[in-house]
Amino acid sequence: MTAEATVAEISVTIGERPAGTAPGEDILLDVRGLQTHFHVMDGTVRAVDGVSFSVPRGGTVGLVGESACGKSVTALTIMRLLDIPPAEIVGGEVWFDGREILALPEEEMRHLRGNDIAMIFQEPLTSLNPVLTVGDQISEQVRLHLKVDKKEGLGRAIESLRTVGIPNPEQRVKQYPHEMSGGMRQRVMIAMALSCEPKLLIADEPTTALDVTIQAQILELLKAVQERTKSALMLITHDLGVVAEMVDEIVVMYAGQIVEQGTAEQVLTRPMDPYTMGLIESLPSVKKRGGRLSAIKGVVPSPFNLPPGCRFAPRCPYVWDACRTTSPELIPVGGHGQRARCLLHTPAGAPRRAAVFDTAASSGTTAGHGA
Amino acid sequence: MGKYIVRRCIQAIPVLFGITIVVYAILLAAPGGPTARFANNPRVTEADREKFKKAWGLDQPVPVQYCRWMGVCNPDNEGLAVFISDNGVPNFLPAAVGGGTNGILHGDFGISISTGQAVSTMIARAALPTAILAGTALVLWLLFAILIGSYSAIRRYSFFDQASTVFAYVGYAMPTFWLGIMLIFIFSGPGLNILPAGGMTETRLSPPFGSDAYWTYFGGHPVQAILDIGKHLILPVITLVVVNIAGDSRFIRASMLESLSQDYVRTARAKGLRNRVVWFKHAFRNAMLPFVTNVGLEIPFLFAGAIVTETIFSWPGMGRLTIDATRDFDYPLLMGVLLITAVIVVFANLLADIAYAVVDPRIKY
Ligand SMILES: Nc1ncnc2c1ncn2[C@@H]1O[C@H](COP(=O)(O)OP(=O)(O)OP(=O)(O)O)[C@@H](O)[C@H]1O
Ligand code: SF4
Ligand SMILES: [Mg+2]
Repeated sequence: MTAEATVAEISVTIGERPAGTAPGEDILLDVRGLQTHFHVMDGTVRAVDGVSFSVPRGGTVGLVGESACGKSVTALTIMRLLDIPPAEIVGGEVWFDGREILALPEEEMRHLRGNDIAMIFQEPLTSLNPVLTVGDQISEQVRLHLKVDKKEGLGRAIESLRTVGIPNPEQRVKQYPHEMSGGMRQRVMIAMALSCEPKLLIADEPTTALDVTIQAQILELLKAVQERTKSALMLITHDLGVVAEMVDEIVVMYAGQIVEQGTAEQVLTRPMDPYTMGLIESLPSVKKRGGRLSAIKGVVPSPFNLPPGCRFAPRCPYVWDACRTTSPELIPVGGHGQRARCLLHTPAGAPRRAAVFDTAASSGTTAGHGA
Repeated sequence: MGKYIVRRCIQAIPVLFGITIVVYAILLAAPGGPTARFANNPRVTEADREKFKKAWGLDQPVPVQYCRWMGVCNPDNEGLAVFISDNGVPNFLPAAVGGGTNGILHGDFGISISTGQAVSTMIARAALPTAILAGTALVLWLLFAILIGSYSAIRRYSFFDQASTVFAYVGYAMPTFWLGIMLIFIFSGPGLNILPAGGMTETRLSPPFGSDAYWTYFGGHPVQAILDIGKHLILPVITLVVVNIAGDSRFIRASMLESLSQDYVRTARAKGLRNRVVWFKHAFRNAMLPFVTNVGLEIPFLFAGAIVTETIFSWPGMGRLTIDATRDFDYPLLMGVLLITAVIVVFANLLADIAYAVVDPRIKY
């Protein structure tokens, strides 16, 4: 696929469509203006605050951001796995495979879970049930959705363990999770998620709990099975380095909002939002090349006390007066589907723009590259 | 698994042995002693008392007394020969190979001072009523605690949950004896008078429970006899289980809420499983793990409760036998009853341990 084709496709897939109408056939998942709040003792946490993005069929999207920016809540809202209360889906739509699923009756939603949308969680150690064999845990899902008998279910469990590279799957199905290593358990989770050949796989920080050598193996495996099964992948991570090789498109979140989205190439090589720039410059490889920032200064704002203007203002190296009063919108930048949430891209920011981005990038041509 | 069970049983042997020493030591330390029953009887002279002591072997040193009670010593012999049975082999060996016939090791718990019957016979007779009472109580206790506890957790903050919370606090706070008396007052008092106030059977209808005549009657009218016992069971069982149900329904609720919040429950829901499957296959089994141990620890309280309950409701079981033995300073009987109760508790704990190993695959054995 050429760079031109990718860009053209992105401009179709990213962007808000009118409420209440289905997205195009090629869009598998379309999240529009999603707002998920938590009502807790100290007040309301706007964990997801107007998030819109989409995942094409068979496509790969990375959801990136620091801890507590709302990545998991976004995923769990799509899966409708949050407890309501304390959670409340305040607004927005989630279109999956041509249907708006937030309004779906629970029973129909249940048929989607595990069958059409599967999810892998961060903690392989605690995400498997300690008192059931892994074979039982995989085959119960297969039996439920594919309506096969016990024997066939176990056979499929063995097959799916084989596809994720677990040796001796016939023996392994009889084992309990505690008899396996962390990496092995995450393979089991992946096998389980893929057992019903889902259209969408959501992987919520699938490697964070694993040690570095295993991390690479698991990511490779994830990529390989995704390419083979042609399922779409939504990869959640706080590590931009991880998404670089894994996904076509990147969505960067900060404090419950999307601050930048675009193709992986756009976002990684020509970031348009100071927060994304900070994330990239904090990557070890970039630091060696002499980037100004080694890590983003300051801490994530308290969800109960968000800054009035730009939510990144307290930490932003380019902040000026307007940033503290005006909330920036997520607006198209560069004319090729990339979007960023920063006042530098508004007329008010024009005089400062050149100092931050090189002129080619901010003027909207594809020629220039940052860093 | 089989090996584990055998090992746990072998480990129980020193515990049981320790129990015999403790039971013996406690009664030795208790004031009064076996002759206390005659203390206020002016017709019993000092000489009679000495004769009594000699007859019961109480003139012997304590270790010898203990060994005789256990069946390691032969009471018919003197000196070092006490360890040898009448057949010339060590006394502690089973009678079948020529060992002695006296003492606990040979199933001989002695003769009751107050009734003159063999203690083993008296215990055997009292065991069935207690087994009926405690067994029914145990089943209802587990059933209701599990049902109420898990339903409260699943429907947290519902009306049912709130109501069961109130029940738990009230039930837990009520003393057993008070509850028993109140139940008699309400259901057997002149007002309602729908349930018997005590006993195990209707004495006007049938011979005393446990006698040969009773079993003849039972054979003739089994349904009527069982219904009769059932009617007599209602109030004692309620008295016995309310505290346990109250406490354990809370325990299970907490344990169930804990497992419902675990990651594997979220995984189960993400697989699209029905709520029922998520609750009972995934959450419930994990919630039961701590409860199994808890039940093992609570069995002794069931027996303690049975002593009070049987006394209130004149239930002819082990609990009442314990009270009678204590009141009459019937040392052989009291020692026998305490020992058997302790052994049952040890085995209940053993069963709980084994059950735990069965339900939790992570236990290494
Ligand atoms: N069950 C809950 N009750 C109350 N607040 C919650 C709950 N779950 C999440 N939140 C809040 O929502 C916000 C977003 O949390 P989320 O778990 O989505 O973060 P995240 O981006 O996945 O972070 P991480 O990288 O640490 O996983 C946080 O402020 C968190 O405290
Ligand atoms: S709006 Fe201002 S504070 Fe916010 S990211 Fe842009 S420059 Fe920084
Ligand atoms: Mg998370």
